[in-house]
Amino acid sequence: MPTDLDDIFASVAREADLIPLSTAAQARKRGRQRTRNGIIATAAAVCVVLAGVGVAAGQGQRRADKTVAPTPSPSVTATTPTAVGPLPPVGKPITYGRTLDETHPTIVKDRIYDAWKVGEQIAVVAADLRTGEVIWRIQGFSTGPELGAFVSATEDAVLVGNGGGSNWVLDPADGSQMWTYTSSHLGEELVHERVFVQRNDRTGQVDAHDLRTGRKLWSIAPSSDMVDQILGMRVYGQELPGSPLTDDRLVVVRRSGQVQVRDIVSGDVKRTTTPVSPPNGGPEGKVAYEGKFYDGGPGCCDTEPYRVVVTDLTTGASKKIFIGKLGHTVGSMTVCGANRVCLVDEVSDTEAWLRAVDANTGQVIWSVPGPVGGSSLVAYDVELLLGGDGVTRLIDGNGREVFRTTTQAEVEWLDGGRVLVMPPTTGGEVQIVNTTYGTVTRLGLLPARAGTCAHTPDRLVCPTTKDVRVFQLRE
Amino acid sequence: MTTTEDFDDFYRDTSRRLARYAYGLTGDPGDAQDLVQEAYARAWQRWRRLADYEDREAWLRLVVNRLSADRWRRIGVRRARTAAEPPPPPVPPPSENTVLLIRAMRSLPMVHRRALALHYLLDRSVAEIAHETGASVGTVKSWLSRGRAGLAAALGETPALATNGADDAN
Repeated sequence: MPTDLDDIFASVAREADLIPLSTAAQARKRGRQRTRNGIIATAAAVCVVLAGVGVAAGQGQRRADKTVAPTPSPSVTATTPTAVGPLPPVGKPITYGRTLDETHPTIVKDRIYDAWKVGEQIAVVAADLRTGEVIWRIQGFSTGPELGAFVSATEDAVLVGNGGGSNWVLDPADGSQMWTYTSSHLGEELVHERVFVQRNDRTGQVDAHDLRTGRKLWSIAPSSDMVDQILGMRVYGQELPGSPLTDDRLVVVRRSGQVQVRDIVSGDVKRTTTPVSPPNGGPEGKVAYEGKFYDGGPGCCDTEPYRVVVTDLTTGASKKIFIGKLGHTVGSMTVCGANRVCLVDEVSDTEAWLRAVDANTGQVIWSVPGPVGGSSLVAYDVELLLGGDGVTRLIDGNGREVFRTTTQAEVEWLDGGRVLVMPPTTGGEVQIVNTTYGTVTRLGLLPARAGTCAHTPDRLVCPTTKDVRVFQLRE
Repeated sequence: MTTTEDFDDFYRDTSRRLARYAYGLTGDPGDAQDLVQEAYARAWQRWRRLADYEDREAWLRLVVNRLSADRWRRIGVRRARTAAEPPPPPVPPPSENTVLLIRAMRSLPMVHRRALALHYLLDRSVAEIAHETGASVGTVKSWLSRGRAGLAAALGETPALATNGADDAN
């Protein structure tokens, strides 16, 4: 082979130039699909983050480095022997006044919010979760053919976006506009109960604003050691999707791997540390929970195995608690109990293991076979919803499978101890699974829906192409 | 010129360079195909705003950097693409030189890998790499120097054989 790097790279470049590429038209088509699907992925990611940090202390169910065989479990299937009636509605459907492809309502406390496109504008509605009655309805906010209409909220602010960078912050009382902001393309945004924080992906600049007024509270200026990621600190009790950040600690990760803890309101630096194996790569596998920073991902380079590093942000101490074998990759990872990390260890294209690891000692508590070729992992306390291979499994704190479904159902945590199983978007039966016993309660039929549903322990809010409907979840 | 024509022109002018870059980072023709397609799909989502960007190609490379950061993300990209459209035509396997080089590249930290790909595959100067990455010229020189040394070690060469004078570039 040539001994000069110029020659070798030139050879690589020539090969690259022969790679067949898709067309620009195909890229545009894919871009439009991404716009339509983006809010679904975002909502799912939020659920993973929020539910993934549900941790309770005092779970004394650990076993030393034990491989647990899967046990038979009840299956949830699409067909059931006895017919059930419609899911009981709450109030009247909230109409859009037009036919839509999809919307994605959200719930905050006792409020429902939904947004949709009306030509080149966005309509937003607020309704009472208990009664389904509309509280206010407004229209405005510029959007476009390639853009969308998205809404998220806290108790004190409603955030509306068009997916193209323009965002409006509204007063939940009457929908009046309080302030506006612009999103960066690949940047991050965190919504704290009092503060809105965003990071610009190009410059690394971080700006914190008062959530109600938009007043700038503090900033981190661009630097050569730019900020690569910001994480809100999750604490026990924030398991349910939709709960905003309440802890005042913001974790800032710089490109060098340095990790800072700042007061999210004042911006004051409370701790600066560089973990033993500094974080690198993307945001996947990073969690800030109860004063600790969990980083599971590749080492410095491809010749190093992946590792999980836990940093105590109070003391600055850090250690590698788990090192994968060379050639393995870490799939999904989440905090899954007091000082416990659960991860999918991908051995090869045909073998993967779900492992629970003690975050203090690094000891593998248990391992069970996991899905290959990709997985999802959502924890609530020590229990896990594990997706992959076309199967969703509920795994208990000892690694035993409590139930599984192989249908196209959407499975989400309802609360601690209960899982909500929703039918495919074409409609079907809604069920609740008791996670202790794996028992299934059939609640009723849900019509076809156009987008993601939102729920609380006793309400389900789902969009159709013409309206958004509220249902009771009653066992 | 319409928005679509503007995007298509940009795609035609830049996609080959992005493919080189993606191939240099991943060493896998299929991954490079997927990453290029995904990067442009994301660009089309934000095309109006990208029009204001000083260097839209750099933005594309940032997307590729992130997507190529680990195997997990690349699987996600490939799944999304597979679900959306038929796969692009198959590509011949990489040559021995490429296999050896990519294997050596994978032993390097990502910042060194990026700097080498920008310099050798896209002919970017040290100053241009510094501008794109936000690092100082000295830092980029260090990345390239250490990257070359790492490659030389991995390829069983001496560093002296593997330089091309980039340290003197600006």
